[in-house]
Amino acid sequence: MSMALAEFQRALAARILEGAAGESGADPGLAVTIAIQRSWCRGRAAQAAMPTLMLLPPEEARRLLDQHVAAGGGRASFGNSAGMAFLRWLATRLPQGSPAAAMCVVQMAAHVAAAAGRPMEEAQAAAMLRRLMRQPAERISSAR
Amino acid sequence: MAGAPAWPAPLGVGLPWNPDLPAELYAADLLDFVEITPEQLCRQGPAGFVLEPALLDRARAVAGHLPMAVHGVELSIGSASGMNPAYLPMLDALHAAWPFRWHSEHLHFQMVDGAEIGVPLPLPPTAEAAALVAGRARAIQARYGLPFLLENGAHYLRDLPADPAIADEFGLMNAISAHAGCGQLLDLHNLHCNAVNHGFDAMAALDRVALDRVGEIHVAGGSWAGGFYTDAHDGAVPEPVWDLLAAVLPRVPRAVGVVFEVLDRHAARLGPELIARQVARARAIWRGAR
Repeated sequence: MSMALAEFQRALAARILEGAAGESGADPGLAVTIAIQRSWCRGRAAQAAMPTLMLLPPEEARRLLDQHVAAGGGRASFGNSAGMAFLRWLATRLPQGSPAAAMCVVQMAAHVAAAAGRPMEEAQAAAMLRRLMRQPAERISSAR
Repeated sequence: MAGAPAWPAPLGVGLPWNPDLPAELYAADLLDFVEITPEQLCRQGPAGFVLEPALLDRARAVAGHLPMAVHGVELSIGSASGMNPAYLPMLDALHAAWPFRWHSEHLHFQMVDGAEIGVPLPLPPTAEAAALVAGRARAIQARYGLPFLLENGAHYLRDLPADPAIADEFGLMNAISAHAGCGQLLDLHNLHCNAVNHGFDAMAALDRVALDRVGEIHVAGGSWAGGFYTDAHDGAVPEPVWDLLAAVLPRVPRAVGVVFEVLDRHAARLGPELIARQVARARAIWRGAR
């Protein structure tokens, strides 16, 4: 074997994360591995943020997901960490005062409450959403 | 498996835990054991990943009457730069709360230098990879005093670097299980995927597997993407995989059971009836071979 294990793993991971599958003569299996990696990253991020994403036009939701994954999002597969990271990322990009921005704040609050061992109940989440939707845009923004 | 912990008696057919499936699927007259992926029962706490009591309680309420085995996905046992440091402490907590009878992990790596890659990747069949994983597998088996199995993976990459003495995925798995004293989880769908994508005969390849070390078998469905047959866990078990199961079961005396795997996000689309039919077919083949 010409390449040590650590070196092989770093090189393979780098090609996958860079999406470097298009060179002439490249292993076609690399392209499908990259496609699977991107699909799984999208799935992890989208799963946790679905209520927020559903309040966006589908094209916009897709664009934001693609942008997040291209920036390295969705790789953390343990627990809900990829979803929380996506919500934090989304919160800085959604139109202030929009229903999606309010839902994003509620979802983040629910994640924080769950992480503290005090899961938010549905009625609490609904009340928070109603409260946020009545507030001016700048207050929703500051609630993040 | 000389030197290994005592192996559980054969059970039969199992199903992964999925909170969205009807509780009726986990009835004792349909299943003989349940397989838990512990990461599904976790949340991120202030000091790492912790078991979420509500998720654990729900799983135990529905499937707690069944023997339980763990099937992890996040250990990254093959990472040269170190395994996932969050995994074993989380598994310790699960074992204390709900003791498992045996546990398994995938033979792959998905972390490099502490960073997640987002997809499992194959290990090259080399002596270095075999020695690294065997040492870790031996330590993990000793940590719990229970059988620990490694699962053969599906992958799509050609021309992995290889040492002649190890040669291929079968040589790698056999070298690891022999040196670690651990068992093998033979995933027949992964074997089928690799046979289709890399052009070998899966049935003939069974002769390369150390069948006396196989403690559990997985079956699943997959689909085509980008010119490759992928291990998507998104459908019914294909006929060639059922054929492999029928052929191998009489040759694996230590196998505790067979699990039909389906990913959570596909389970609702497939429906409980199809899942129950897959379980029933696995049971019929199991009974025919025992």
